[in-house]
Amino acid sequence: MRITHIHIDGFGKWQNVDFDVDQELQVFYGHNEAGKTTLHRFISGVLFGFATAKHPAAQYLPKQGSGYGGSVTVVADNDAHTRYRIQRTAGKAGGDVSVYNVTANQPEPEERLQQLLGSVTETVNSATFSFDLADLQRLTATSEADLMALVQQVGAVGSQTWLGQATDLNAKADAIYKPRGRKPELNQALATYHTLQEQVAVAAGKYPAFVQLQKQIDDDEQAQMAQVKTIDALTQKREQLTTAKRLWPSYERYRGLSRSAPASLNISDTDYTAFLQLKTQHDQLTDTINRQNSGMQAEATTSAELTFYLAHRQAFAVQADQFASVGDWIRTRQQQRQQLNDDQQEVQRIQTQDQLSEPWPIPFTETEKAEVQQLTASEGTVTSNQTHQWPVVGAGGVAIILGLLLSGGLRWLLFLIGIGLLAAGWLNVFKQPLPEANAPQTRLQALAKSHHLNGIDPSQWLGLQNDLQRLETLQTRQVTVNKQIATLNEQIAHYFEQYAFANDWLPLQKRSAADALTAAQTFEQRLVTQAATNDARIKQQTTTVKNLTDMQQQLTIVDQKRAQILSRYQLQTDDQLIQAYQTQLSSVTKSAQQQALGEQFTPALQQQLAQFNDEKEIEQQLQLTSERLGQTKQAQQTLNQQLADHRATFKQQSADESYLALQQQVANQETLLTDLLHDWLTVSLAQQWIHAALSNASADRLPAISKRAETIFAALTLNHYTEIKLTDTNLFVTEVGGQQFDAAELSRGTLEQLYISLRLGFALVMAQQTPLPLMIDDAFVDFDAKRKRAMIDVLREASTQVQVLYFTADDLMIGEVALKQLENLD
Amino acid sequence: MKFIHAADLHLDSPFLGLRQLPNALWQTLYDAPFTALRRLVDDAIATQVDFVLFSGDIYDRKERSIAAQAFFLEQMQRLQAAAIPVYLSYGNHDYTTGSSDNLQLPANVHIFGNDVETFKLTTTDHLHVQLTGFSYANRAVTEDMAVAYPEKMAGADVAIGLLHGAVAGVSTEHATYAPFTVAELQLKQYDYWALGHIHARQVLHEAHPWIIYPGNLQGRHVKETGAKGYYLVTRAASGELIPEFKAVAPVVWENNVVDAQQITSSEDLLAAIKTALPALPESAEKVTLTLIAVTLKHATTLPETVQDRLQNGSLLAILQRQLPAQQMVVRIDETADDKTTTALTDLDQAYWQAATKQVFTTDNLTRTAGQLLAEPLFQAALANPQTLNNLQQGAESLLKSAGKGDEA
Repeated sequence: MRITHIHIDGFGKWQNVDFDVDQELQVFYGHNEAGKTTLHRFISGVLFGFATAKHPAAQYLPKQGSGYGGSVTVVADNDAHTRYRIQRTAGKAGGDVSVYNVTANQPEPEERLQQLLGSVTETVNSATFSFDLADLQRLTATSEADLMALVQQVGAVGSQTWLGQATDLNAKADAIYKPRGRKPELNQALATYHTLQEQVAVAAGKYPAFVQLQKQIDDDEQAQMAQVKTIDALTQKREQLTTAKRLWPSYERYRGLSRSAPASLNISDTDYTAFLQLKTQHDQLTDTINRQNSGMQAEATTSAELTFYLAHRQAFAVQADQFASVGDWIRTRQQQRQQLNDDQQEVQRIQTQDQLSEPWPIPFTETEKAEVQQLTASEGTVTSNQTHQWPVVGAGGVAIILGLLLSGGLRWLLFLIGIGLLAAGWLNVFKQPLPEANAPQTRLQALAKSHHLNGIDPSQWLGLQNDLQRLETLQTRQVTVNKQIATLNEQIAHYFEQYAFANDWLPLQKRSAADALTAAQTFEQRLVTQAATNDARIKQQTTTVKNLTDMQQQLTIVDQKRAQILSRYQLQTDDQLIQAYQTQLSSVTKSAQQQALGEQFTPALQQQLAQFNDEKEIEQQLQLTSERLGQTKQAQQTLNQQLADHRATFKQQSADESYLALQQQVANQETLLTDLLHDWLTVSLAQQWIHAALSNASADRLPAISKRAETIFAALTLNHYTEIKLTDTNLFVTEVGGQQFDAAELSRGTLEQLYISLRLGFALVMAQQTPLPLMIDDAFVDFDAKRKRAMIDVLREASTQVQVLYFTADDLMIGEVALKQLENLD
Repeated sequence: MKFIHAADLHLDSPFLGLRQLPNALWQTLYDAPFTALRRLVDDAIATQVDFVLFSGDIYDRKERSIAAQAFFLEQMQRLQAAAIPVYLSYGNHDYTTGSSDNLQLPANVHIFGNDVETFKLTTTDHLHVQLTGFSYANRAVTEDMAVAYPEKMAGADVAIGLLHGAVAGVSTEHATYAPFTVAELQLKQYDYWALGHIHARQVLHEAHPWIIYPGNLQGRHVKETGAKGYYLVTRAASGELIPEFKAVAPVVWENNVVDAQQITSSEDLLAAIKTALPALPESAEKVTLTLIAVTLKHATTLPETVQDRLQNGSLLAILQRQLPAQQMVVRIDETADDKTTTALTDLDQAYWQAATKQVFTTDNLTRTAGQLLAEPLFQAALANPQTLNNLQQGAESLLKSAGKGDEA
């Protein structure tokens, strides 16, 4: 690709200008500030893109309002020599670019530009195909070693840039780390790290002690428990000894009692109790027997009367059996006497009433009555029987009056009888039919005679019949009653005569029968009672006597048993037994005392006390134990304190996060170190990479480069050096005289010329691969005139292969090139 | 029946990858693993679990941190007071041969021996539990230990295996110790495999048996992101085990990627980072601090001044001052940009590639590092197979910014 024309719309100082460009060599001449560099930048800008806003100084925005950008017309290296116009205007990311095919008169796709440029970028372009004063000036500022490196590694694209970069990287790497340095960051960080590690080691060293501390605490805790046990044991022992000391006097006494062995207990409590019971029974029995005997003697007296009675008990009983009969007799006799009296009164009353006289008329039979009736009926005489009834009524009245006079049950009896009689009489008076009258006279007379009725009118005869009959009844009854009374008198008299034997105790003579009976009854009653009492007493006595016999038997048995007990112990009397038992009791009490003491002295205690010979020994041991206890407590206190300290230390160390902080610091430091190592290795390796790549490229290209460079070097050294030779590691130059020098042996000036030769050689070699023009911006301004001319010759010769654009302010150049190849910018 | 399964407490290992942080936050960080464990123990006591399992790496043997071990002891004593037994196996970090140079734990803590061992336990609801495990005797256990685990025993209602190890043949950032296969574990007829060692929470097999890594209890660096905690496993009436993750870590790590393209100033960059921050967690009670690592894409496009401020940490310091105490950006890293060669290397691509093979080799790395490799820390850092790649990417970024030719 060769540039044929340049058109600038607006770029820096250039506005709307056109430059025709020679396809081989084009010199742009102008003084400083004439716009050479601006033009140079414009061409690069159109081809590779304008600078972005990040680099405003490189943008060359036009000061006036004209449009930014322009176009570069090129002719392609193809056979057709097609002409393209590359136009670039303001736009994003390096400006908007368009490609126009001038030959075909048509626009081209943007990709065409890349095709035209090959794979060369602006960077590659500037590194390979651009030279400017700054490059060479930089060269003079480069150290010899770096210059040497440049020379050796010139064979790579952008090797100068790369080498500069490598140098920068080297500086960076050195700033990070130097193997023997102290200041670089990594060296410092490493030192800090080692210090931290030492600190960590020291801190970690505490760990075994810490583990040991835990063990120590465990051990201390064990020891503490053991101590507590020891203290308990000692305290217990001290208490035992104190007790032993206190008990010692009692113990000695106890031992004394133990030595005087107690009497053998030969009277058993059972026996003694039985004995006492038997003794009591004996006394009680004896007492009871005595008392009952005397009681029986006191009760033996009986009255004479009772004695008599008891002696004639049978006779009295026979008499007493008849009390009721005799009573009846006496009452019956009384009644019959009354009857007789009553009947006599009635007889007299009837006789008086009927004016009867002796011989007393005899009553008729029923037949005679009927006859008289007939006889008297013919005479027509009726007699009333009415009057014969009045005595009955009268008897009733008497009975009532008597009843009223008398008292008690009899009164009521008489009263009732009276009323009965009154009623009966009354009825007879008013309801008896009248008898009929009977007649013939004769007959009447006969009858009168036979019935002692002379002087009495026959009409009255029948009327008298009831009275006469009554009289006859009464007279008959008088006879009977009198007989009965006589019998009764006899019986009663006989009865009382039977009491004659008891006349001394029961005198009954000159007493009415009733009185006598009452007296007899009273007597009988009293004595029957007395006799009964007497009988009971006698019976009681019999029982008592039997009891006494029983008791006597019991007493015998009791006494036998008591004797048995006594004999069991070969004793004679109760008192001996009691005495023996009392003795025995007191010995039991003694042994009880011993036992009581013994209770204080448990077997264990006794055993314990038995160890000691005397109180002094106890005291010695007590003192010893107290001392040991004191010591152990002291030790406990010390241990407790130690344990507390250890625990506190343990806790404090447990809570101590400084180690963690330290570890974190180490970790952070490691991060820092690793980062730094990474950084350092990155720059170091990047630097190595550059050198390696450049070396590779140079090693490959240098033969071709040196071939091209030889001519240039000869021209620049005014043919002092004729040959450049390369080995794997070294670069040699050959003098005209054939003398060979290692590049390292060359003077600085010569070395610079060698580099420029190689650099140009490289550009030319590279130009064969890529079609870009070589742009040299006043690179040789410091050369002397001879060398400048030599350079022009070199460039002119080179321009046959590659288009060369040369920007210079050197007047010398004006005469060296054809007019069409010169563009005066001034 | 209920139990808790946790692993990889790493009580005494510090937070990694931190360089600068406001001073006030350090205390939160020191306390974080302790807080997480205390919460676990609080929960164990509150929910009255039957037992607690720790599947290794409770602390780092090499750290020998008094505070961490004393704290663990104290928490175990709390469980002892609540009559909750603990079954514990030591892992590759806290390996032990049962020597007496460690703190003695209370009697409720049952520690598995170096050979596979089985404990038996009868829970309060009369279930017979078979617990099998082993403790590392040294740092590296490379043989398959699961082989030696007995099958579920007759009469065991629940069989649990504690295993600190990794699935054979799966490469992780953790060394593959006590390698096992899921199929192998399944054969044992257990109900639950309580795994440890891998810090990322994961369920390798669901039910019959459950094979679970609970992850570590507190994330310790930027790769251990998200909620961290333990599993509470409940036995349902049906006999099924139901594992439930319970977050307890007070400090949570997050990663945040911010695209720096189009950003032209420090202020804009800070604003972009803040905008991209995750929302503050609503339930602030559990998570008291979120540590965020920001990764910048296209950092090379940032102006040089901004890049310098990123490099020297001043930008991070400003950002940290501006953030709330619950949310802290701990570092800002730059990712290597898309892997395109620089313009300058285009023409010489072959040479640069050849150079790559010369420079980015272990040999050259070793040579370059030189005496730095005497530092175990660096040895470890360089032993990471990723390192070379990372360094190359870093170098490419550097060269790319060099190759932009802005200085031309």
